[in-house]
Amino acid sequence: MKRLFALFALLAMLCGLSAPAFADEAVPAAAAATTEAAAVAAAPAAAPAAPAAVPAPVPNKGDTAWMLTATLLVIMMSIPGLALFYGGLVRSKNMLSMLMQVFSIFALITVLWAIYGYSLAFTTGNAFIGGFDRLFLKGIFDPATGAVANAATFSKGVVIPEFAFVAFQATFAAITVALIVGAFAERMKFSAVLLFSALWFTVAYLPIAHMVWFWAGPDAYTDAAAAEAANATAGWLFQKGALDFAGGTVVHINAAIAGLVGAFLVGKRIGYGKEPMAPHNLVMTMLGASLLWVGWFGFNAGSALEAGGTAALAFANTLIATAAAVLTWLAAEWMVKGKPSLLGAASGAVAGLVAITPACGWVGIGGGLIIGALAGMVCFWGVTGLKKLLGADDALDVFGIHGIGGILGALLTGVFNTWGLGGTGIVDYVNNTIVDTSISSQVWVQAQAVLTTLVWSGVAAFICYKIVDLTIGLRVKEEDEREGLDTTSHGERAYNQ
Amino acid sequence: MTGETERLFSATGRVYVLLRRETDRMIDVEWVAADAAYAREVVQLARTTGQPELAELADRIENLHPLLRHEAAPVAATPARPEEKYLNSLR
Repeated sequence: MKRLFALFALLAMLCGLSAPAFADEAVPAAAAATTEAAAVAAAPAAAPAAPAAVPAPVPNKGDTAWMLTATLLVIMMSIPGLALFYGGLVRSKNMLSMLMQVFSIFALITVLWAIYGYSLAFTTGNAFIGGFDRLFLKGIFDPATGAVANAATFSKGVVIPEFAFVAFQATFAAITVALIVGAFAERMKFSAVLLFSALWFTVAYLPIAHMVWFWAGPDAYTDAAAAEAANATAGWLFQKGALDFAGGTVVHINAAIAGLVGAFLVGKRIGYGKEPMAPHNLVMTMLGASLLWVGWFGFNAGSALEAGGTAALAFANTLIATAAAVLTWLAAEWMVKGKPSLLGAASGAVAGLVAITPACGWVGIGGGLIIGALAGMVCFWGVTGLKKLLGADDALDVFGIHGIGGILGALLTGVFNTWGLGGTGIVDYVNNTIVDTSISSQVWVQAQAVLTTLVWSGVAAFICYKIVDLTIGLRVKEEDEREGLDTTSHGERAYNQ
Repeated sequence: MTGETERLFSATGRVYVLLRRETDRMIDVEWVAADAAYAREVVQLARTTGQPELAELADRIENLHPLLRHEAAPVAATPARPEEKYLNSLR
């Protein structure tokens, strides 16, 4: 524990040392924008001899506003959405611990993202991990000119302020790590949760995010030679052509397999299989699921990085596919178990959201409907039949929903992306046109992305759990688990009458 | 206290009230939970009254009591309590 505190103290000092520099450099946002605009406006006048020079792109205010809004929506998904969704599903003696774990992980990962996470995920390095060019987010804000660097989107000549992209992606990293805690809920030490989160974020989330999402941006693809050079700097799975619009592999499969490994390694809860472990408050779970659904519009439509047609397509798919998943989950539950439940409806919604996440900007509405409808049924099997087969105490069914839904969505993205099934195809940035994809080859690429994520994240999680187990231990004492983590780990109760 | 223990105490409490009303006999609610032999006697006593509610509570105590559960006859035609479905899975 002392070493853990020493590490945190060191990190805090580093942040503290860097803070005055940022404070000194800070200028009002309006001033920065004015400077940028002035620089762009002055460019043609300053260089009359070079009329062909293309002015540097300026962020569109609508795009920027949308990305900041989308970021807020994803924050709402995590806290309070995911926290309430998970919190309602555990026993009342562990409610506060669930809220606390999600809340703390969100804060921890956000800080690590600013220190080194963003740099390792979204700067040029090799095909598997980025570099240190943006360590402590350096270089994004230029105090000399007051300018903020821009980040590429998916359209040539369209950019957003890089800080908006940094914040948006920070929320993805944070919610991904927070998703894992549902698998080992009600029995893990709080310090172990934090240490595992920091380790897994570093060795699993960052490489997978880099492999799937990092590329040089569309403006680098001017001709075939330039495209080849740009592609060589992209992430390994991006180079292969894997399609993951908003994080089916990076977020859901990644977190789910880490959770499943954790459920095996941490072990079953005391009394699991012998006494019922009923959710203590399904009202909270329904509220959490609803916040997740609303927030997911930021997650999916925000991943377009622009406020345009692709964002609207992702938005519509997120709405419609999710509704289909609710209905099919309820139908399956009604037929198999005799009654449709509120927890089933909430779970169906999350399953649909997970499955449509990688596909939402790549498939048409028909494809989205089928993906959502299948997700409701397949994930219902994931939390019942598959759960029994696996035999692990995945307490809140992280793998059954996020893993199975993520795999289904990732593979079906390859199916429904083709024009023949109403999909969007993909952009050919060299010829500035849209091209169709072949189902068989795209599904194979998608399968490679799924397998890579499962293996990489699973092995990384195993190593991280073992490190935590050997240093501070994974599990609370038996009497603490019986008493509940609210009082034994945090000295508070969720409910005081 | 687990949900199951809570329900055992709740059922035994109702048996206490009904037995006292029907037969003027009083039982030790806490001892029912702690001692299998005493619990068995209370279950039998409740059944011998012939009172339907007491008979149903006797079945329930047998099913809820961790020390008697293996002796309990399977309860047929009674609606499943919601909690039972959470024994091995959440959903």
